[in-house]
Amino acid sequence: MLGFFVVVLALLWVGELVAAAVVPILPGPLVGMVLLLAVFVARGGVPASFEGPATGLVAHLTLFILPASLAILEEYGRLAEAWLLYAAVLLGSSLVTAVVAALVAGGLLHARPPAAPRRRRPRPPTAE
Amino acid sequence: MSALLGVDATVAWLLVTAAAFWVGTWCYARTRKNAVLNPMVVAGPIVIAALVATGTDYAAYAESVALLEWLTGPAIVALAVPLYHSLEQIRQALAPALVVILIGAATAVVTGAGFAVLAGGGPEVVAAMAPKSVTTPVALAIAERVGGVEGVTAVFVLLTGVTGALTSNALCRLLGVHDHRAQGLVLGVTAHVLGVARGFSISHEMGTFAAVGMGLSALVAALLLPVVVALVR
Repeated sequence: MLGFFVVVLALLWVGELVAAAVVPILPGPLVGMVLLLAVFVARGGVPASFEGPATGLVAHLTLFILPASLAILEEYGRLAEAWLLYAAVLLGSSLVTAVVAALVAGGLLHARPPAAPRRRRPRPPTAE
Repeated sequence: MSALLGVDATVAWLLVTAAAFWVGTWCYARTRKNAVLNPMVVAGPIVIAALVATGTDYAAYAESVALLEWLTGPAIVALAVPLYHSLEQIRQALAPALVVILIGAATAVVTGAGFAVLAGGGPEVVAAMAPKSVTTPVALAIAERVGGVEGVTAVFVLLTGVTGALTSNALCRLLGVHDHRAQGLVLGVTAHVLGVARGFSISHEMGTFAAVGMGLSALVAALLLPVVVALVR
């Protein structure tokens, strides 16, 4: 687990540096993620000790963003004045985007069967 | 560090937040992952109630639980692990995924800015609303560049994320889109990090593709937004 955290922290640092130097608009963690992915590819695999901590962190993403999602409390006053406008734009834009994305994604990805990794047993039909 | 009921504020609010989330997760599991009872939907009001009851303002709360927010950084880096395991699958779906992301991100930007204009919003509103569909750090950076108010943009990003995370799956099913990769991409494009979290709560595949959607749409939006906002002005 320690190795995992050392690597993650190191790549967070490097990610911030790279982002600042090359693509300032991208967040450091995203760059760090890409770098870690590159490391795994170069290495040919993920160290076994990384699996547990990584899964643990990812599984709790919703918890980590919870405080930030409450930031609405801070801005409530400023938003209250034109809330109808904001709500309409938000909902409208989200709906249209989701519908467009869904239709394109459904059309393109429905045609191709998901890749079946050879080493695992065949995946049962995905239920939703 | 200030004290709350005799306990260090950091400990107190981390506990409240984690406990509220625990309750939310329990409710989520009990209702068999009904989207409406996403842990955040239950945990949020519990924390808000605690804040109101103790008369704590948001800024103090945010400072106390800064550790949690910081953990999103390592968690995003850690996404590389599931991404790596699905690399072959992503590679096979990469071309369609890119099309989805390009069209989706472009739609998000154009409708965000466009609807704001149609609804009679001024340039600051347009600038604040346009970047709302990308992950927060990118959205704030973009807002800064195009003259939007950062705090307001942050809230729009959150509201967009919550809306996307809660409604995307149902919307996809309504449109006959059942493929987990497709649903994942939609989640990533419409709800960024919240979409990724939601995706992983349903399936590994969905979460992975949501991560792909989030990362690439952030890039697309970063390139596209300043152009759109300038045009709209």
